[in-house]
Amino acid sequence: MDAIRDLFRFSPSFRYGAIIVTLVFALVIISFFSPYEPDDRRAVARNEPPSLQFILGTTSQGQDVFWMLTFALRNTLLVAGLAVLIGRGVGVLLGMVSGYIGGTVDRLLSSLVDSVIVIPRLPLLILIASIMRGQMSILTLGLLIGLLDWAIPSKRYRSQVLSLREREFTYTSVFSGMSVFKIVTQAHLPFLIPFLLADIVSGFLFAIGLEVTLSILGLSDLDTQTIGTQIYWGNYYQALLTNRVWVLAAPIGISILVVTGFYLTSVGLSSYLDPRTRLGRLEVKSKVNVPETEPEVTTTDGVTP
Amino acid sequence: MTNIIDAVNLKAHYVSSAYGVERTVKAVDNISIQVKTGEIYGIAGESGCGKSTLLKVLLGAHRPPLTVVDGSVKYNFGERELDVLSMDERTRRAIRWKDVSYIPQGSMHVLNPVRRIRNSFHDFISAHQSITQRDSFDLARRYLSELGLPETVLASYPHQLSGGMRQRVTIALATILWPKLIFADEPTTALDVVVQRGVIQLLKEIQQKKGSTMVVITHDMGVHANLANRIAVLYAGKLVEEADTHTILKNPSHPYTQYLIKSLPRLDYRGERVSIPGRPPALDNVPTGCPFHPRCPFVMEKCKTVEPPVITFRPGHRVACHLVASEVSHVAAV
Amino acid sequence: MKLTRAEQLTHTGANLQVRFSRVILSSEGYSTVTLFKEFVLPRLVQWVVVIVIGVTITFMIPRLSPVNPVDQALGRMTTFQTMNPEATQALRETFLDLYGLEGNIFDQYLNFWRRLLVGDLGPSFTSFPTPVMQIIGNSVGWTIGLLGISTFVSWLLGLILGSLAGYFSNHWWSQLLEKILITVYPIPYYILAFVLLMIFTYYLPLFPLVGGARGTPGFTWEYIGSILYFGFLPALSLIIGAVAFRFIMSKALTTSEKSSDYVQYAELAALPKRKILFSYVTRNTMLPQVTDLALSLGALFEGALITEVVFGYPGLGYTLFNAVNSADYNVIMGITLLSIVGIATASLLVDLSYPLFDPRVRYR
Repeated sequence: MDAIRDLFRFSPSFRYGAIIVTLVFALVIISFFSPYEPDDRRAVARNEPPSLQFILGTTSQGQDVFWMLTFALRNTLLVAGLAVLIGRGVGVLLGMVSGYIGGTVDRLLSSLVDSVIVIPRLPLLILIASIMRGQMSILTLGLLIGLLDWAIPSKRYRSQVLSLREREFTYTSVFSGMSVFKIVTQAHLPFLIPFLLADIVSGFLFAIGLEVTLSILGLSDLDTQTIGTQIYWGNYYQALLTNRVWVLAAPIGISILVVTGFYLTSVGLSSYLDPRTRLGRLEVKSKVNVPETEPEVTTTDGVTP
Repeated sequence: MTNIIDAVNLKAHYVSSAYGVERTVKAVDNISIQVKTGEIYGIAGESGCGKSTLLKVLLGAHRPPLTVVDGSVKYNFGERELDVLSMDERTRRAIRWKDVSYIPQGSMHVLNPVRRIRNSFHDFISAHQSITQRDSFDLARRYLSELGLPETVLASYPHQLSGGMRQRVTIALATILWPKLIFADEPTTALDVVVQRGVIQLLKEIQQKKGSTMVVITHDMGVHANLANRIAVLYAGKLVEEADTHTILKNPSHPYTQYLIKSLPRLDYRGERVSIPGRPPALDNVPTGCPFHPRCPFVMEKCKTVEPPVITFRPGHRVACHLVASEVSHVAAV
Repeated sequence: MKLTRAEQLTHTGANLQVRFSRVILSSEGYSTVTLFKEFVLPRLVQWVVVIVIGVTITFMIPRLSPVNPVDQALGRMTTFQTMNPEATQALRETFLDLYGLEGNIFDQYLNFWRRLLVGDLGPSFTSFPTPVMQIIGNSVGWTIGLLGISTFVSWLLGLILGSLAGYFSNHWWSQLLEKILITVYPIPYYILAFVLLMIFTYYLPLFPLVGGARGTPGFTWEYIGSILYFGFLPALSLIIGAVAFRFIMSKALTTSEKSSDYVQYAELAALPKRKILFSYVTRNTMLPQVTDLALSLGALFEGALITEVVFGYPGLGYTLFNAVNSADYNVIMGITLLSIVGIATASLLVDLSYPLFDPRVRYR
């Protein structure tokens, strides 16, 4: 698509972000061709430092760090994807209902959402997870994270809907007799979709962060490989103190890479999609630079624990 | 009488580069005007005709993407002459507010919303002369009462004042150091008629008291009628007519000006009012030849291809129109 | 309504003055009653609602779980010893009472609130019979100190750096700073903390691995110094993460505020740049950031919890971690409840301070 090509050429954040994200997904795909099963212990020699044979070394349980990492990536992204699906699903629905119906319904829902936003999610998640200890699967984890992250998105979608409602083209559609359903799907949705994309990335960031945090505390499905559980097991077998830093460095490095990649992509995207730059595609020449920061500054959920 | 402003062949364009595509908006296209010391010079024209851009250039306040591609602007304050376009930052700051000042449009938001009026006054005054806070409060108080504004606004925040009051405070703020040259950009827009009158009165008073020169930019011909000594009419970034107020109102020569005047409401005339067919051109896509030719009722073949030059066809009356030019040559020939 | 000034003006002439002074002097200040009604009250109500919802959710969660903590606890106890049935039954009843699981759900709920309001969070399970409140009490101070300092420093620093970078967005340092912080921003607090830990306690042993302070507590330089020493890395970790966020927000706000009318006017009037940046731009961009701080407190708190775990800092996070590992549900519940109440209250206080900064809310 032209848009992607433009983005690649003119937005350094998108460029680097997209490269990283592609790399990440490549690794995920590679995971399906792994020579070892994720649970195999003693599949290879133990405690080998990184070498040509074992790109990222091996663990004390005899697992190849590199291939474990590909699994970890896959699962973490799965969890995050599920969380985003649920969270944004509920968020979009709530936001749209609030925005389109308006009136008392809107006011009630909004106060509800405003109250829920203040409640810190991590302690709740820890509470739930500790009670369900041993019974947690990554699907459950994804579900839980998703259920905790709909409040702020719903606010944002609501404000988007509200502004769309007031636009001229909505009025013309209404006057020309378009059914509400058609207006929503044909006129408004195309506007929401780019916003949704940038928002989804932010949701991924939050979910990944939360998964990692929870797994490190030992509260998720410790038998499944995720980035978080890798770090957990690394700590458990005291990788740091026994001078086998690669076991920890790998998942930590990858987590930084993943979140940075996603974030840069979203920055590039939102800069591009910002209506101020969208219409006319003006990028000011000579001395003044168009700042490439998130034009719509969001609040808390970007700050991941 | 000297010309306090001398602008020659001014061309100012907005040059921008899209995600690959270049665009040039010719906001000011070859304009030359002279403003006489002590007069009130009005610049008229529809929205989007380049008036505000011209103002920015005359002030020397243009910034990228607005670039001056040709021409010059000079100030003549009697003892010294300044080249506005090549002023260095120091000179620019030295003359602002003391010699040259600017009354902006949209008085809604030109004052810092979290600062009391008197503090804003102190900010603006102390930027140009060293003065204690108490002294600037005093100065502001005296000036406001001189202009007939209540002192009590000084302790208020901008949002506590009405729109009209805010505009007048802004006028006071802009003129408190008695600058010799004052630019006013749409000083009465978005104000109701009664307040407009007050503002116009205020501007007149200021000009009379110290003999400052004023350049007033507005699309509202009524304001020009009440305020300006001379009026310049702009269309699509070009000067189309310039004469003293009376001539413009009673005897406009350029077809566009004629339309403008005809469209003014008059108390005694209840007939149908004419509006000009079509719309003013976008400044990145100006028609060839005379920019007004697509809408001109007297359009000739020549108008479509050749741009009419600005000629002085009567003393103190300039116009850029082939029709007028041909009439003049006829008269001259005869 | 103050008429004295207006009366004075009448004496000096000009009808205009009197007329206009009456119009604009409708209220010199927002009466305290209206401020309370329109600003304070809704927020107080919100605060109550948040706490009620939060407490209710916390109440519901253990009761919705498929796992019965009483059976679990009993199971653990009977693994290593056999008990006669009566003792088991008595134990079961004790546990039920301890966990507040006696009676039907409504009784439980009411009891829950009753105990909460007197500060009774039950006894710790692993350190029976130490009350949870005491355990929490020992650690709360550390967390508040860490969080307080980090929040304050990061908010201020992020605001200032962001404003500078936003105003001088063409300068090389502004762009460099932005690039660095954009990279740091998405990194989860845990990772930040761990990386700092690895570098500065392991590879370059400059800082201690665990702990909050050294020596006997007291107002001695030694003790306070050790607090600073031990707290440095955790605070740094939090500050880096929070500054990144604040910087990005501040820069974006400054960039857009830069183009607002009053700033452009002040620049035109050649006001000194420093004045414009601080008294005009930042003073205005600060406002939404105060409100945002109220909302971000939750995220900062969560970051603090994790950072404490990594650094073994003896605050709530560390206590929570231990409680999780030893399945001390009362402590976990207690900390969760405290978090909710604490964050909601802190958020309320920050919110309430807003009129101090914005005269448009203070005066009408």
